[in-house]
Amino acid sequence: MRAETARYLASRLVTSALIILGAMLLLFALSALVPGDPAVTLLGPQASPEFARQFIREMGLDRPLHERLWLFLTNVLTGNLGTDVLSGRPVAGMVLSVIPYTFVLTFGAIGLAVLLGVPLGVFAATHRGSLADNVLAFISVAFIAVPSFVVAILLLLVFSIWLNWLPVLGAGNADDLWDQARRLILPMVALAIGWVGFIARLVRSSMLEVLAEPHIRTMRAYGVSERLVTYKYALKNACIPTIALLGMGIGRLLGGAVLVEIVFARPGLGRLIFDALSVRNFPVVQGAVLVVVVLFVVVNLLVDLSYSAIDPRMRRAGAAK
Amino acid sequence: MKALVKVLRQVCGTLPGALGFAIVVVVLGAAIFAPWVATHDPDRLDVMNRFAAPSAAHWLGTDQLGRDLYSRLVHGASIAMVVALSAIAAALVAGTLLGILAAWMPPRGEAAVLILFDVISSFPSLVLALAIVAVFGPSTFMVVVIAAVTLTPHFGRVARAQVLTLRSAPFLEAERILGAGLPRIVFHHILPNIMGPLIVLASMDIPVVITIEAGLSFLGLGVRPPLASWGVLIQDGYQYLSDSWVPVVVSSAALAVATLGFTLFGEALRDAVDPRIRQER
Amino acid sequence: MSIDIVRRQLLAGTAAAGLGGLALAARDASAQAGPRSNISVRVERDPEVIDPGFRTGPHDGNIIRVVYQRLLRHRVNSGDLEMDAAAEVTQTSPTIIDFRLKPGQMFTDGFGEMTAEDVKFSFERIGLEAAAGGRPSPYRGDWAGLERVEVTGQYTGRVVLARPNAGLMAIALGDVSGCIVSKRAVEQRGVEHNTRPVGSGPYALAALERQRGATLRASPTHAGGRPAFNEIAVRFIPDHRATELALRAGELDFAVLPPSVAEPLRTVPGLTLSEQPGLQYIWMGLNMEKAPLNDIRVRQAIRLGLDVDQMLLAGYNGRAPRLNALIPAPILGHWPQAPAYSRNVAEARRLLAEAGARNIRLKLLVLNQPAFQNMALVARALLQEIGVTVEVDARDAGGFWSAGRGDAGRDIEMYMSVFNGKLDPNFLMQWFVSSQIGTWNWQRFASPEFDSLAERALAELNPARRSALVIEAQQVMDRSAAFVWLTNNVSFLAHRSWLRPASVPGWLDWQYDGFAAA
Repeated sequence: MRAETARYLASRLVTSALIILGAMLLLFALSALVPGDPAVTLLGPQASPEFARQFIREMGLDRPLHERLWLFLTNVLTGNLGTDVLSGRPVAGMVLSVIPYTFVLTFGAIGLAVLLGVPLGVFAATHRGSLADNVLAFISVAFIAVPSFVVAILLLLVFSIWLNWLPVLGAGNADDLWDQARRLILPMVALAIGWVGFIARLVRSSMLEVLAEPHIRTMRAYGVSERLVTYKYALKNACIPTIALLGMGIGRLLGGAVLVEIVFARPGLGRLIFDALSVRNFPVVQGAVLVVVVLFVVVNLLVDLSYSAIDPRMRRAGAAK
Repeated sequence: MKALVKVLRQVCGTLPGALGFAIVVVVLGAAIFAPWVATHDPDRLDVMNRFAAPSAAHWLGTDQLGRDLYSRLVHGASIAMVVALSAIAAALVAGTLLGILAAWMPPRGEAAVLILFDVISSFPSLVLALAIVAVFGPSTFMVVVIAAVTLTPHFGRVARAQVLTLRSAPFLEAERILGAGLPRIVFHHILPNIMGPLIVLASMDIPVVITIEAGLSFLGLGVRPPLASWGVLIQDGYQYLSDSWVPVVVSSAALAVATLGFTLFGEALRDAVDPRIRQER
Repeated sequence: MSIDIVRRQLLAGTAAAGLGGLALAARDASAQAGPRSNISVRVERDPEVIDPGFRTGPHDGNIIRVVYQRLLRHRVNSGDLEMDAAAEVTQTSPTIIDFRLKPGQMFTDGFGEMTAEDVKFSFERIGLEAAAGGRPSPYRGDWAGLERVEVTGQYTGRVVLARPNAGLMAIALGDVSGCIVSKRAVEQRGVEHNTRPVGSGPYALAALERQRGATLRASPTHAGGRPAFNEIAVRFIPDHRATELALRAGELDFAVLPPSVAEPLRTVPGLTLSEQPGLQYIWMGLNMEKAPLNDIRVRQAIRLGLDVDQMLLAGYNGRAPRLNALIPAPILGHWPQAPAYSRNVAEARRLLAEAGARNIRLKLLVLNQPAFQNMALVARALLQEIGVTVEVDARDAGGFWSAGRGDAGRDIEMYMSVFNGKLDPNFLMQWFVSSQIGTWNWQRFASPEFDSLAERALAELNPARRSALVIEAQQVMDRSAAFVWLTNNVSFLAHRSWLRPASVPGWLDWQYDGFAAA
């Protein structure tokens, strides 16, 4: 048993490393093809050709691909994500300065989605077939279907412009928590809405599945209270697929909240990458994308491991995968 | 044909399914018959008549270049459908082939394909999109490519899982013992058997592609102007929000209703075809 | 020969520009600042480098100009120069400028008093070739003709030029490239000086945060007057729409916006909106080497097929002034009689027929920003009517700005572009000489006549004669039909009504230290 666990762990670790390496290869292949350089993009005609060449040299873009990849990997292993050619600042510092905003937004949105989605899903499952269940089912689909940037624009229009209830812009004053919280509300809601729908539906369907299983029926037959059955046994089991979904969600959101960040003018990892790539600041793109990929892989690894800890059946399925 | 009618009847048997089907029909109708449904040429400029209010001539008014908003919305449906269907067709073919291949390959090859899928999934798709657009320039074709690449792992994983469960089925064993070659097995037995789930998945991915297209166009990386994609309409409307809130609200609503309709339809279709399949996401 | 020549020509320029409703503000206005001691202003791009030699654009420049001092600076709301760090600046010959610093000008962070040695270091690190291994400054062109700076005393020195440079006062000495850094601080901090600068200006950089912007705080060591506001938050907001919302919500006090976003703000109470023609120039260029555009009749036909006014209506709500030649009105050498081509479909068709060009399909490269895309779409519709099919190719900034470089530039057909101007004609002309082909001269406009006129204008210190040369150069451009001039842009300025902003005419170079309460 223990050997099996160790082998599973080892194989997952190796795959994770390979995924990160593959993503980096893809990134380097793309950056070798993308035209443009930061000097010219930012300075326009003021960038002399010598200056542009200097930038290209400093970014290492004139070296062969394998050499750049090797250099990048050895640097990363020593904790150096590279240097922003424009300001000479280390990329790691830049990523660290925006990552809190991304974390707050991502985990806030996921937390909000769980807070709303789980009770809705439980309610729907325990009132199966009722009008409320049907309405909830419809609302869940609607939440899933509407793209978050559309929600963001509409929220902005209604709550900030028409009603003037909430501030619109940025992440707020660094030393004013209340201000920061108020500015977090709309972007968080915009991101969370889709996940509310997902989680509600998943909880509902897995609860229905669990409630139909023999051991639950046995429990009921033995007179265990309906409440206890629902909340203790059924909900616990229904949470397993939800965890997997959350892992996916966190991974996605870390790099994928760009549109919402743009609409609300918030700093964040997604926008750091977007801005850097639009001005062809490749060292920043490489460092930041690496961080996103690693976070995604690590979150999913943790989810897989906790998943297999909760439900050993998954381990075999996972190993086969 | 009969089977199709039966499935559709089943889809329309539930209220959400019927609603989804109705929306799908309307969107597809608008997409196919756009030149007749629209009241104006969607690209015809009338700069002197910009931001006209809704009227008998312009049902939803005009945009910042005096183009008829209603006609642009209608043509937006065609673009959404063309992009969605071609991206999904491409992803379906590529994903299915890779998935079948993975299931049939020795473990190491299989692992390589799976890692490729994971690489694509773990890579921020916006970076991929930005890079592809930067290299080849924005165009409808590139949107299709980006969406197809993003979705290929979806289909690949499902196809592989389906093949794995099928592979040990007795009738395939028999075929193999009788000496049937791989192509014969794939085309005669595997494909017909795994197509059901894949088509359901395809129908559920239509709103995903529509959203990708709209997001890219919103960032100015999608279809090329003057094409009237919904993402472009939302972006235009957002930029000119203070001149008129009508364009942004109307085009967001169109996008939301369409994605909602396709999602409802896709789920009803899934329930009708095979209630056991769960959406893989 | 004295600074007066430059000053007079700048004054003439400002008078022509008009001040767009900006009242002059007293520099030391702290007494009237009222309860507000801090303001927040918007910048469109993330401040990156607060070092004059390596700034990444005008948004960095605006911060740099208040963090450092220079020998001369522009007066508040004027193109006219006044003394800043210098007590005296004298042009003793066309190639020699003597200066004497005011004593007691202190750098922040304990880097001591400014000396002529610092001035020499600051000018030469930008204007001369970089030492081996050092990074060259992209702004070397601002100091064109600089030979060396001599230190003649603790506070005195001499700028020596190899050849006369009529634009030197406005472009270098009085602007960002003339900002004086502390030699010791730069050497000690190295690359960190980019983000932890040491200056002697009215403000010191208190914070520089990625994706959020910069915070400026009134410098305790500055020897001149104290600015009106104690703190200025320079906030990076890339999106115009978000900026408009922030202005409405009272979260922002000052922003420059495109007309379509700004105009509706007119009705917002407490906000003041004003507009001014810009110093940027926006035009459509035609590649003279690429068939069928290599036939001048095709280029003329396209010029006649367009309706610039309609394009400006679509791009700038019709609020941007039309430009008919390279040099906009505020700058010396403006050509008021430049032909304003009006649309003539019949003549355009006749020219195309004469050229034997049929079924012309052309690509129009533009930035993927609303104003450019809208203008491109109008151009497409207009040219359709003379039988030219246009495909609009909208690129992001990185893709757009690299499109015309090197051999890739041969494939460009038509493009629409924008360059930033300064109050000097040669600054604008320098990108269109033959040696810029493959770099910034995307028209591939190769005219020895233009090249020599531009060169002569640079060396000509008499404003009237210089102006004549510049106009002649623009006539050469006009005859090539490779340029369809569109506009010098318009800036809409939205700010709290109690705030008095300050800027050099053109509204590109803001004077944050001149901002005051009304």
